[in-house]
Amino acid sequence: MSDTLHRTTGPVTRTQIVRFAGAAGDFNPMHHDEVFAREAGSDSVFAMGQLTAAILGEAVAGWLGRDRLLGYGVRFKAKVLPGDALVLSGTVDRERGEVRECTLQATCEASGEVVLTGWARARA
Amino acid sequence: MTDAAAVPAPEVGLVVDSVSFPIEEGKLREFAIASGGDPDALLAAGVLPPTFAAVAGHWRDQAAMVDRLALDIRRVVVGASEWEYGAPAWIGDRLSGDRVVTGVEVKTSGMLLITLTSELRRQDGEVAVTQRDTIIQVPAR
Repeated sequence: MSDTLHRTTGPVTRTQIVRFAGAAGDFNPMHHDEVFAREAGSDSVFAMGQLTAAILGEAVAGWLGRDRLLGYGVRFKAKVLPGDALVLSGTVDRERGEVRECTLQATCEASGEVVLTGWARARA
Repeated sequence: MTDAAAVPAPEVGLVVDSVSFPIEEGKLREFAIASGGDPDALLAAGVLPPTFAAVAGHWRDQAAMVDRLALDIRRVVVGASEWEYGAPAWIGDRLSGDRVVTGVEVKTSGMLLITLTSELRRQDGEVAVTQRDTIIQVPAR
């Protein structure tokens, strides 16, 4: 296993947001109804934080091993808009006994803005 | 500025709602594709995606949650989520649990932070995953 995660995803699309709405059961119209979102003051629909958390979670599970994850957590920092490609990164900070402790981050590739910070713990 | 003492806040220990949902292959496949993962690899691995407990949203009434916590939906955002993994759970299992208020903090600014914890148990009572969400209500202007 590599000591670092570094991966750039394809741009988040409206279709992916709608797909996640169906998969996760989040039908807040701010995430799929462009007219509603604009009337509410947003420039467009935007991804659920849980979608970004799931995208990073998939990458982390692949990196650290699905069956080795003990915990995973995220803080939501900024909106992810359709068209945003994400840079996912992670580092192993330390190993305590058999447990690896990692810090994680997702940034918008174009703007460099941090959209998510996080942590993971996994069996070594 | 909002008077912090005047901000309605729920009691720690309040059970917000309860959920019970089956783990299904079709839902796992949809979730993997939506998250940019490989559904075949996921099904071959036999381990739930890290944030899969989020699908409990299908089985919950989020508007009722906002009412029960006396929140103003226009000022509410989710600040953080975390998951701890326990006993393995897979297709055919059913996960059930209460969503409970486990932390309440009112800042002097009037900002309200609520921690909601859901221990999702398999049908044999073993905890499969514990999810904690931090809900933030920004102060009224």
